[in-house]
Amino acid sequence: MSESILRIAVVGHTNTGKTSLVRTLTHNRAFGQVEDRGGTTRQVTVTALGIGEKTLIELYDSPGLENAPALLDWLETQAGERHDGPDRVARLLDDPQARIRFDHEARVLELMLAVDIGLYVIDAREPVLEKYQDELAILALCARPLIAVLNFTAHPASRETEWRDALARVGLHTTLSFDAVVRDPATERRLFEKLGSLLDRFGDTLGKWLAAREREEAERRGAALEAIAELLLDAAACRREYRRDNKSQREREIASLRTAVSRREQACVETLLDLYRFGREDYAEHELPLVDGRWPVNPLDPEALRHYGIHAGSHAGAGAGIGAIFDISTGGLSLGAGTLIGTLAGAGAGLFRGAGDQLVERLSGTARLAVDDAALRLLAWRQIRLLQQLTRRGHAANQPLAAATEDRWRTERLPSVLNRARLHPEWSSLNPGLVAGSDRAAALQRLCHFLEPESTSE
Amino acid sequence: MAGLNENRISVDDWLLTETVRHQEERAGRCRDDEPALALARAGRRELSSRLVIRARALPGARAIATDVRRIRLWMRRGSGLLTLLGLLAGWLAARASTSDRHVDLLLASVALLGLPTLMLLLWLGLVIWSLRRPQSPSLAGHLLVSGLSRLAPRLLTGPQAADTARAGLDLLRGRFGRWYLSILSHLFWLAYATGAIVTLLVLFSIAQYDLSWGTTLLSDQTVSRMIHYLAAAPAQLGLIPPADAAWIATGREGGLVGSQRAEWARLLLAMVVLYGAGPRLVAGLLSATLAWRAARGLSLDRRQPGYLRLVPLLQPDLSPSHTLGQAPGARADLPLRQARNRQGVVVLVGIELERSERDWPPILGDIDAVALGRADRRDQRRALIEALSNQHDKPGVLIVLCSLLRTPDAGIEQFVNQLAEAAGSALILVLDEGDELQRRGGNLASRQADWEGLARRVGAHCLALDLASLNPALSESRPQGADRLARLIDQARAPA
Repeated sequence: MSESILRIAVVGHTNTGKTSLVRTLTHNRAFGQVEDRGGTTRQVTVTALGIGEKTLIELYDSPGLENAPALLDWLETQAGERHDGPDRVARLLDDPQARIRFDHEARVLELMLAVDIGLYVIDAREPVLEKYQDELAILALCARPLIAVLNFTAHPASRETEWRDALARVGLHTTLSFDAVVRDPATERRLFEKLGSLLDRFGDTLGKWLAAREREEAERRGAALEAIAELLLDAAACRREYRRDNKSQREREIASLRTAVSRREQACVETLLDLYRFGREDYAEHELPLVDGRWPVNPLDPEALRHYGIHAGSHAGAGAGIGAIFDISTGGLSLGAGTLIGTLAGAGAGLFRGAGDQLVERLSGTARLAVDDAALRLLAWRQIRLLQQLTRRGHAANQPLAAATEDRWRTERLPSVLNRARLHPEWSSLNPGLVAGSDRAAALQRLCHFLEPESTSE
Repeated sequence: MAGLNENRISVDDWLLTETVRHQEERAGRCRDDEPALALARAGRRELSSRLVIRARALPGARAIATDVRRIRLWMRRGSGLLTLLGLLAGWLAARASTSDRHVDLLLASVALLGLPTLMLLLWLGLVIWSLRRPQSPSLAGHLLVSGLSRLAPRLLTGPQAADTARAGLDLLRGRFGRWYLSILSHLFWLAYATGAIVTLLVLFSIAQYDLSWGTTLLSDQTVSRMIHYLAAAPAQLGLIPPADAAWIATGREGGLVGSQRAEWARLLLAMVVLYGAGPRLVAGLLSATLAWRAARGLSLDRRQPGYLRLVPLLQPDLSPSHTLGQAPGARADLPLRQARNRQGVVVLVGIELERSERDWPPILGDIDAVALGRADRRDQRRALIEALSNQHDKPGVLIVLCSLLRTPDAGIEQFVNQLAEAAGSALILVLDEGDELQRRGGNLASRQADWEGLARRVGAHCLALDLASLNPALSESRPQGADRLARLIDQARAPA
């Protein structure tokens, strides 16, 4: 089957959300002008959907139909073949006076003749007025398939059933509820599937487009989860230290911790907004209430024990390396004794370091500050909530999303990987002078895995 | 831009771009990047190349590039240090094997080749084990990476040093890093073998050593066979005479004479060259080839949040959104319509109201108005125009009751114009159902402004009213709205 560009016209009465629909389908909030008033779109505007640099679909946004009843009256007065719709439309387009009188309608009908299919957008809050039925009658003259898209169906004043019934009465059975400000990938998919069912020859094009969209959606979701996991690791492992006897230093370090985590959160929010192609104005943030508690390391915490066990292991490795050098220097005649002694010495050093960490801290008179569990949970929930909202936000929505102010995370305890992060200051990019090893990447993967189901349940 | 004719990414560019990614993921995207984005969008390139061009053109890229050069410098220094250490270790091992003038061939071979061979086998095992794992293959590699993670922030000085260090460590953990660390490992052991060979060569040249072989547990035949196999390759290369049983037996007895000592010394040297340096050289060259290929195949993972967020900004528009045709001209306002018959009655028409038929006609306080009907359908509109056209006594004021729930459109405008023409009266648009619009979350002010615009274009007075408040049955005192409407009717009747 040959691959050609599918041309879709988005038509309908004025102020029904045509431009909003195009914005949501293109994920482009900069497209056109969206306002709750008529006549915002005054010319036909075209935009492309494609993969890479290849255009697959062209979407034509059109000015609203405003005077269908009068146009129908005019058409009824014209001579000629009554049942040849395109011919009747051509007569209208050829008449300069009629073109002036029915300016918007002429533009829309000309567009309909040039495209493969039309999406007739309906504001489902509107009653089924005769003028809307007149619009459908006029559009039918263009002999192009039409899909009725019911917008604002999530609104309490929606008259979806009434509309579906009325559309069926005029023979328009291909209808779809598609709320332009509430994006739903499943509905978007259904729309393209309906297009495919009406236009066989574009089956390949639509299949490719749907596959690309799904891939894009999965990639975006994966990247968003990774961005959140990065933030949580950075926040959990973030530390500041102060001398116990220095109160002003404590205040300074608390402020430093708060600023660092808040900026880091902001960076994450920006990443999520960018990923879903929204702007800063789409999110109204609240300052993160960062409790200034000191996070105590519980020496019996399983994560802490495991951590120190691993540390002892890595020190043993280092000891083994040093021992091997000794073995070389003896020409191998020590037969690995150096390696063995090095291993044991290294393990001992590691264990001492683990157990001694807090002791050293206590003896040296320093104390440690970290983000406490409650703040960490709220931080996590805020990002998860934002992600949930962004995945369902249409690109025509004007109301900014509000940051969650209360923790409603389903999980009762912090994931163990975050508790582990607390023992790894080098995992946080907010701690200057430290760079994480490869264990952070593994922790990141685990955290992403943990967040995946959290982010899908409302 | 130079260097990007192909879509291949150099190690330096990879480090620069990854540094920028880490920095932007941590501290937020550089918003001052429009020129860099414009540069990156130009031309037909893959996304990776666009990301590199953007990173290069960002403010701050120069400082990162300096740190990247510094990484290279430290890598070179590290390799040099490792070579020196290897040479030193080789010298130490050779000295330890030749501590007295009597050299036991087998003991010296184990001392010089045992650990390197063990390490080579370990490396080989780890390479096979880690072929499908992204981490570096060896314990040495792991230790090196952790060591570097501590050292890196101290060696780099740029403002993005931590991110550059992170990018550098990511590089070492990847395919390129695996083979690069392998090169370092082979370099060390090659230097070790070279150090040992040179030391033995010097010692055997300037001093007389007695070489022999012996065994306590094994039988002579077993060891003899072992030496035969070990000596086969050096003999093939002509470094020693053919290692037959008689020749091997001379080494067992000790007390070798002149040329025999040289032959046995050559055997030890040849074994270190062939079994120590040789495999390391081959493995090193193989690793270098694989590292070179990995460097050529370096790519940026576009699924990373820092890159994926840039995709829409870096992709050139397939065909930028554009408008077709001319914008329609604005419709002109009309002067307020005057009544031909100032004393005529007040007539009322409703357009597309949501109130039910039972609520029609509405009660306009004590204003006496003749309700002509509603104009929701074409036949109703035609009938109303016809009725008003045919009426002999023209009405004084035509009140058109409109719903603020509807968006004013050209169809309504045209109909109201025709209706007012037919009536020949003054015209008042009364806007109802504003409270319902607000209940539905609509913007009352902008909707009212749109209707006022329509009123100006049809030459009408305009008044927004809650009609329910005009019903005396529902209101105790004469409502303010009724007064306002009565005043407006008087005003409309009055000559201009």
